[in-house]
Amino acid sequence: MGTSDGRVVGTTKFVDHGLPQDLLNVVVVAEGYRQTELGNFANHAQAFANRLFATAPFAQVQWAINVFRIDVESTDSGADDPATCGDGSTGSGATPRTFFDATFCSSGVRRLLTVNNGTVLNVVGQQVPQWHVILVIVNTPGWGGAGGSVGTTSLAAGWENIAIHELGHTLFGLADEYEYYHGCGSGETDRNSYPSPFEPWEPNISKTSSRTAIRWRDQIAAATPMPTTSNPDCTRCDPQGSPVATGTVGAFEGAGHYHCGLFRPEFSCMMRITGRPFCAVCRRQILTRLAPYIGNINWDSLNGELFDGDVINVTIQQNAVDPATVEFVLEAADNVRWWKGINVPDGEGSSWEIWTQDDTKSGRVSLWAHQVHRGQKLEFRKAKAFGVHTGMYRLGDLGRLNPGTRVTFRWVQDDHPNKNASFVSQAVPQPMTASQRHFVRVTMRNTGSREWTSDARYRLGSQNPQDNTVWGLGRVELPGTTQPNQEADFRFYVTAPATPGVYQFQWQMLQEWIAWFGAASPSLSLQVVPKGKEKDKEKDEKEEKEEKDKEGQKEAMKDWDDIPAGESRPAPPEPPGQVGMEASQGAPFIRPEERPPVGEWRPGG
Amino acid sequence: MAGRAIRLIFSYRGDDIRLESRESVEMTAMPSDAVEAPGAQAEFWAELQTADGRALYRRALQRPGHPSIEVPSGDPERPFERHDVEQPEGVFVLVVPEIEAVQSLVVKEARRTEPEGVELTPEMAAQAPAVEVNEVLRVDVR
Repeated sequence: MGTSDGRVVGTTKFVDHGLPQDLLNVVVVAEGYRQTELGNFANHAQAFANRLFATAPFAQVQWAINVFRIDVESTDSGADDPATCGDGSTGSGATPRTFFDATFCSSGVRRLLTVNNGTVLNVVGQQVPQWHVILVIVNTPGWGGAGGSVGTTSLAAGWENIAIHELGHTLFGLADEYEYYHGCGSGETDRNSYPSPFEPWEPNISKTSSRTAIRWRDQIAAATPMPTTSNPDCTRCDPQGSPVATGTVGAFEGAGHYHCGLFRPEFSCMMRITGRPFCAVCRRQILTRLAPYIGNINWDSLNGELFDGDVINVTIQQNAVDPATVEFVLEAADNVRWWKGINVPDGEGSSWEIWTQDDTKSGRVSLWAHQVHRGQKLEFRKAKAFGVHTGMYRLGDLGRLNPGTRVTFRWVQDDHPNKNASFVSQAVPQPMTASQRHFVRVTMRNTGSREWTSDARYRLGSQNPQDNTVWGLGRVELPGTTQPNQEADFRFYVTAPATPGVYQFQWQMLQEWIAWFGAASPSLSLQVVPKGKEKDKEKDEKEEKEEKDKEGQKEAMKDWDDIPAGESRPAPPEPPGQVGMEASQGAPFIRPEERPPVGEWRPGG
Repeated sequence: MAGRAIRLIFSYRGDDIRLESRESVEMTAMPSDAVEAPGAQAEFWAELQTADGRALYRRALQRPGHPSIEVPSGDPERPFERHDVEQPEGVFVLVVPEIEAVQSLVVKEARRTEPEGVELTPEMAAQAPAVEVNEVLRVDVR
């Protein structure tokens, strides 16, 4: 049984986000599919890709990844299923003739499903030389699979998620976040407590629950208790539920195959229970490793909308300039006014930058033809904030530009001016009680020309400082699709920091992974007081507070009056007490207690 | 930045690790882990070294030959289970950037040792692990 029991039919790049030399390439291979079943394999491969790109953070960076499918037909369906196995289990004894000779019961473990790795590597190396990871889908419904550079999966329920979990290990170096070895009900006794005095090497588990020492300390909100959970009985898996909201980053005891002594960042995560998103710490690791692949575009993706909403058209004119040169031109359409640029490398360690801005509608540079190498990349840049030029897209494959060519890039759509927001109002209780949840409300108006949707990842995000989780969360989900000129009414709970003091409270709209935009809410200095001290403190400080409020009101009114006419400006500050603001006299202003929150919220960035 | 990378395929059987193939491919490798760390941030890793032994690229790896494998359990609430295996075998693959100044790819392992007579606090253990670093394999990649 082996390669004489089938043939390689062909390869399809069914998720095509760019040149394989620029992107991360996942290759899905068929095993145990007869010729008439290859249509099913195509559906299975697509199901895997769909699940992958529906899982955070891959949903946000799918343009960094290509997925290939290699159709391989086998004489028979399925995989070998030995009648007896070292673990005492029994199988059907089937020995179907398949191309990669898949079999259950490898190393004496029934569910360890393996293939002939050498054959797989040979086939994939020929079909997709730029592969990074391989997943072999074995056409059998029995439970089985294996991780690694050549991963395998059967088609048992939930196989797509199991395969994604294995990618977490293989590509991104993530640890298991589950707290058992054989299983929680297995009676295992050697998994009570992590025995080593040293920190595990993987980024998503830790031996310490110290707020100041844990490796993901920068992702933990001040209000989150540490440890967030402790297992009261280390002889078994911790049965308690999460005491904090879904998505809260903290230190949850039970991880890395031990009931106690190791902590995980969130209560649930793809590395613990399949079907969940990756936790914030895992997401950060994944994005770190995907960084080289994000932002690459190919020549075919020009003329269409790019991921940041830009459209750049390209025109290539042969024999248009000196035959010893290649000319690069950047033009901006009349409606594109903010700074745009292209960094053009000269192949000799230096680069040129051509740019447009406002009334400067074109820039150009010529290189000697021999300087235009295939391995170089143009980098398209744009101003995403005043004076901040951000590299957006990288375009390679310059070898297609023959000597004497003029290539003209015309930036015809800039997403930046299409997204805008103004602050409408906010209602926030004052003072807040340490570690307690408080209901707040922030209302923003869509003043751009694009609708805001959850699918496009429009959210409210924390500012001052950006992405902070001082109030227990860094993002608030959109309450619903918001058309231009409509308001988005974010109603959500925050958790006050555990330590009394004065903290800043400020929010702004963003499109996740793309840009912050529009006016931020006015930054509020909120007082957080110890539990049980609210009334006393209010009483003690009443006179002083009234004086300060009067002064503050004067200053705020002065600042407000300083905003030039015609510009968006918030309404005059509210009188002391409940801190509420509204920007337009006509906008309804409802106190928080009048309606329950409707916006789904999630902590973290 | 796209460029060239080297793909190295290793096979392992227990602790025995062998280089099976090496090829230069026009593709983009994943970024390096921190190279300024002494190396004991991981138990097992590969690094690209210059002729004078300076590390330019590092990648932490799951230890091949680990006597434990993960398989699906069939329980949606506890979807995985692990099993011991006596003689683990398989392949692992490394894709590293092709860098002109690099001479060798070196695979290393750190064995952590507790200092005698010193009781480690968790902070000490996390920040300054006592390790013995061994070279497992060296491949000339020039």
